[in-house]
Amino acid sequence: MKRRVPLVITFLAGVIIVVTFFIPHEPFGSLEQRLLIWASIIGGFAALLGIDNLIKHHLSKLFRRERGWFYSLVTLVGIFGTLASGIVTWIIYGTPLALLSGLKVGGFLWVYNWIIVPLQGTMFSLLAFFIASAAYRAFRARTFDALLLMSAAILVMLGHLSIGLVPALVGALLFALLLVTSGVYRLFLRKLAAGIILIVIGLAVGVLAVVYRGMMVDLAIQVKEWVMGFPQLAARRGILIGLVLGGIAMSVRLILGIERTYISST
Amino acid sequence: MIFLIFLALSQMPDANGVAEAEMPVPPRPVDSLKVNDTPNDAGKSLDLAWQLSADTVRIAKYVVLRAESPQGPFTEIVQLMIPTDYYTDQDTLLENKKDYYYRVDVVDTAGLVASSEITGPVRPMAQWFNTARIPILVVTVFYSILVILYIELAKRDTGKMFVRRIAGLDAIDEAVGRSTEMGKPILFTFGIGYLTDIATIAALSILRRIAKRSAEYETRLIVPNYDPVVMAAAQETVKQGFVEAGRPDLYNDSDITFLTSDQFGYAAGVDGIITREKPGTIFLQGIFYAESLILAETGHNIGAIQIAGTVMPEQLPFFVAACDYTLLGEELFAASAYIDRDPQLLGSLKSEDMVKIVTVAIIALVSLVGTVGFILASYVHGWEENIIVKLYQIAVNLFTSA
Repeated sequence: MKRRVPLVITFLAGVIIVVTFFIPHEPFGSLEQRLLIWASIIGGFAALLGIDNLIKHHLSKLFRRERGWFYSLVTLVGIFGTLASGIVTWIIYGTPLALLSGLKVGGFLWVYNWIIVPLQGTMFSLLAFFIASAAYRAFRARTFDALLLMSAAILVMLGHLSIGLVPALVGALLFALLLVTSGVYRLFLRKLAAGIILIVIGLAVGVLAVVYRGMMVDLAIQVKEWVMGFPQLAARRGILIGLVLGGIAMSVRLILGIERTYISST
Repeated sequence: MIFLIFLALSQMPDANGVAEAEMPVPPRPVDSLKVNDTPNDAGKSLDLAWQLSADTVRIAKYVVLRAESPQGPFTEIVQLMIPTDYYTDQDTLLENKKDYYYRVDVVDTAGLVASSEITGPVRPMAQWFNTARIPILVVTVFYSILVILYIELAKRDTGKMFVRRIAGLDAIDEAVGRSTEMGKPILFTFGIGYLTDIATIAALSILRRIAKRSAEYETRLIVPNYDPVVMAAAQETVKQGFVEAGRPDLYNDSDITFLTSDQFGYAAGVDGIITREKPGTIFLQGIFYAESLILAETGHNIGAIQIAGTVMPEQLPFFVAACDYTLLGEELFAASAYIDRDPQLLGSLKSEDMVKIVTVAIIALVSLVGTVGFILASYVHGWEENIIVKLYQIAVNLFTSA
């Protein structure tokens, strides 16, 4: 019974949603939206579940003096401090979201503007450094695939930069040099085919860069658009088609009750 | 003298002439105003279309007016400040099965107004079937039949279904074992998805397998959560895995906790846990946005073996760069079938492959038809509007109409 009821609910909800997709007439047309509102309401109540879990977990760590109890204390101070600032603002101004003039804001919004937002910004800015370190690893041209990845990245970056003619030319020549060097390295490793291909491509890029040096900036943009518009888009669409079909298959499995791993059997 | 008088008169400004020259001429109105019920909708919507005024350059605005009788009164419903030849009236005051009349006025830069003919009556109606979605219905029915068919076939021919190796899923046991050998915990994160996301449900099946293995190896499993509903589902799933392994006593509720529903707060929280607990293995499975690389790079920095999987194409390169194994998109959906080897689930995977073959064949065929039609239309005299181009257009319309 414990398994059957969720399966029946899943089946009914799934079938209703699929049917309403094809029937615009009321009450079917807005049923999906209505069910989403129900999900939001359930989500709102579930937030209480989350807060309860969070407070219990950290109180327990704090009272037992477990390892890292100080972080639990900081978390609890954060939770109750934010809550208190909201209640106080509400009592004073009639709403927790009170906005005063200029930089003066109600307590709750002060916490939001001057603590939460800067913390979010700090975390987000870390991404720049992580991208740099990940790119360094990903673009080390140890294999032919990694070299292709790095080449595509360099071409796209060159196309995105609002640089002048000389930097564009220097960038293209450095890229050509990189390909030639990489080719020579592969010849030393006795990978003749890969080495010759890389040297030929490198020389071709170098010659083209010198011959068409006046068009380097436009060329960089066109190359970038080609890379983004064809090889990148083709790969992306391949992944998306697979995703959509996989998603439909998963949905059919869920609706028919074949996929049950999300339901406890105990 | 008479000549001078006539000369003087001829030099005087002609009152009638001035009036003619300065007489403001109203602009020409819009033409062929047509109003129709918006197709394939729930009603309360009408589509208007007209031909722009011949004096477009001096028109300041187009004003759409509506009335419930041809005599009026007409109420202004919108002012369109740029030359526009269509408008969809979705006013909440519109009632289904009720007659409405429309008029479009043009106002020129001098403020002169010209009205179109009154068009009506028209009734907004709700439709019982969205005909634009027939191709989707056909594909859905075809695909669903194929899924059921292959599931039945799989039930009969158990063991004959070949599924290609998915390195990321094969590595689960190895990764759990490695963590056990190192005496370190395992960390699993769903990212910032909700239980309404299919990817999160797919990730739950991977979590169950991991929970079972970690219970067998007596390794701690930490699952910090972004959404309380996902947390509750994760607790149930892990509990289930521990029961299946025969070790329900090892289950610890406080290892599967709620962190926060703030994206970067969650990233900071998980990063903190990774830095403090130093898990031997990290699983990143589900929905990820900008926090993907923040989590994956932190995991990489502590030397954890990382297995990622997401349905977000934008995040896949980050995971490929920072993780040891990555489940690319649909591989995440295939996880439960791959892990459990249940014939019914494997059957649905096979049907997915079949539909993929059909889809690729259709794309190739339509591309070929389009290319050939375009070449013929461009270079062969008399083939400007050939049947191949029409076929291509029909195919494109069929798949883009909804």
